[in-house]
Amino acid sequence: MPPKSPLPSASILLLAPLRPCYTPQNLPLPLHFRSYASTPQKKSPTNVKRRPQRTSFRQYDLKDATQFSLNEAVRYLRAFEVGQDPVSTKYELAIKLHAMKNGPTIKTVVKLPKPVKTDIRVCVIADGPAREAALKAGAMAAGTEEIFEQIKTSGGNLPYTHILAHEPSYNLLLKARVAPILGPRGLMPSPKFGTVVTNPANAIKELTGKFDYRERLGVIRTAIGQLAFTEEELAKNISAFMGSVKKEIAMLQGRTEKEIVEVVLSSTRGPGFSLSGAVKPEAPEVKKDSGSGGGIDLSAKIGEVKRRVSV
Amino acid sequence: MVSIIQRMKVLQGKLATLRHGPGAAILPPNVQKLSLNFPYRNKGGHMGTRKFWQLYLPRIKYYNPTFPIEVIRREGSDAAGPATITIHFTDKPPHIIDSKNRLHSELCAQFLDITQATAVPPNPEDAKAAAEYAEYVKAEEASARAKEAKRQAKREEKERERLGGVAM
Repeated sequence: MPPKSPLPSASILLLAPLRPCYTPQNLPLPLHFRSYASTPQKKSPTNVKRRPQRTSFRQYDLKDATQFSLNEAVRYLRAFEVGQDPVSTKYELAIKLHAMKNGPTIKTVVKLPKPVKTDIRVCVIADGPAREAALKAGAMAAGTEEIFEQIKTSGGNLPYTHILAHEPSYNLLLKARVAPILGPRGLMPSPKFGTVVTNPANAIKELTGKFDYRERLGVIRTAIGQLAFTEEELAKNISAFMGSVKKEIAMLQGRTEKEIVEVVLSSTRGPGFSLSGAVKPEAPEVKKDSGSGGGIDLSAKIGEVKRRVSV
Repeated sequence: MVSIIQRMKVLQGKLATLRHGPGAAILPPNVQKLSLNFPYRNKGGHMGTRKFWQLYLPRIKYYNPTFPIEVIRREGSDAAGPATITIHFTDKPPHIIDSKNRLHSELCAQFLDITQATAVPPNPEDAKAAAEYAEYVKAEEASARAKEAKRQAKREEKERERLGGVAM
C-alpha cells in the first residue's frame, strides 16, 4: 500500500505507480530502450584512420613457405593415404591467383591426359536417329519428352553427371522449362559451354575425361589425379592443367590482370604441399621458371607478384 | 587460402610426426607385402588393428615408399569374423597375426620384430617438432573444449532467462 497522503483516496489510486502483478527477475529491456539501441550509430569522426577496403584477395609472402618437389609431396601424400582406396582417393590441386575481387573470373572446361573421373553418366536430349546414336555411344539415357518429365518429377535428384543437348532438340529443352532445376546443378546444356552439340555420339566420346573448373575467391581448386597414378602421370596432368589456366589468364588480358602465385598439391585426407615446380627433389638446377627439362611450369610473373605483395 | 605461416606450422608438425616415432623403420627386401583384413566396426576387439593402420602404417609407408600395403575393411554380412595382419615374404610362407583384441603398439612391435626391420635413427629436430606438434594439438583440443563449455553455459543462461521471464 502507498504511504499515507493528504490527498483524497481517489487521487491516491490514480497517482500511485502501477504495481505489477508479478516481479520477474530478468525482464527483457523495455521497448523504448530497444528502439534507442537500434538507431543508427553516429559516424566516426573523419580524422580517425580507417583501413582502406581491399580490392584484391589477400596475398601472403611466399618466403615463409616451405616448397616441395612433386616427388617429395607425392611420397608424403601416399604415406598419409596409406591403405585407402586407390581410385576414390584423389590428388587435389589448388592454384592461388593474384586477382581483383570484382574482376572477371576463370571458368572453363579442360581435358587432362589421364582422366581423373572415370565414372561419367551422360544423358542426351535428342530425338530420332540422333537418339539411337547417343544410346549406342554409351549414353545412360536419351530422349526428349520423357527426359523432361523425369527431370520435373525427380525434383533435381538426377543420376546423371552430364546432360548434352542435340542442336535440333535444344529449343524443345528451352520450352520445357527445366532450367530452374538443371541450372543450379550445373547440368543445363548451353552453347556457351559446348554442351549443345551437333553430333551427340562424338560429344560423349570427347566428354570422357573432360571436366570444368572455376576460380572461387581467387583460388582454382580441382582434383588432378587418382591415388593410383604414378608421378609421371600426375606431372603430365598438372602440366596440362597449368597450361589451360595460363591460356585462360592470357584470354583475360586487357580486361583484368591475373597471376599465378602459389600451387598447392593436396589429397583427400592429406595436408597441402606448396609445389616448387621441380619434379625430382635431387634436381635443384630445375628452376621454377623453366617450362622444360623435367620441371612443371607453375610460374606466371612470379617476381612481379612478390613485388606487389611487399607493397 | 589459410595464411602461409599457420599452414606451414601445422604441416611441419605433421611431417615431423610422420618421420619420427614407432614404425620409422626400413624393411628388408624379402618382405613383399602387408595386408590387413578387419571389419569396419571397432566393437568386438577390432580397435587395435584400426589404430595400427592409422598410427603406424603411414610411417612404414613413408620409409618404404614402394612397399605395397593393402587394407580391407569388411562390411555387411562379412563384418563378423577375425582381424588379421598378413605379412607376405618372397622366400617363405606368409606370416599371419591374429590381431583381434590386441593393442596397437603391441601389433607394431610384433610386425617390426617378425619382418626384422631396421629402425631409422631418430632425428632430434624431428623429435622436438613432433613433441611440440603433439602439445599444440592437445592445447587446441583443450581450447576447443573450453570454448564449447563457454558456449554451452551461455545457451543455458539464455534458456534460464527465457523460462524465468515467463514462469516466475
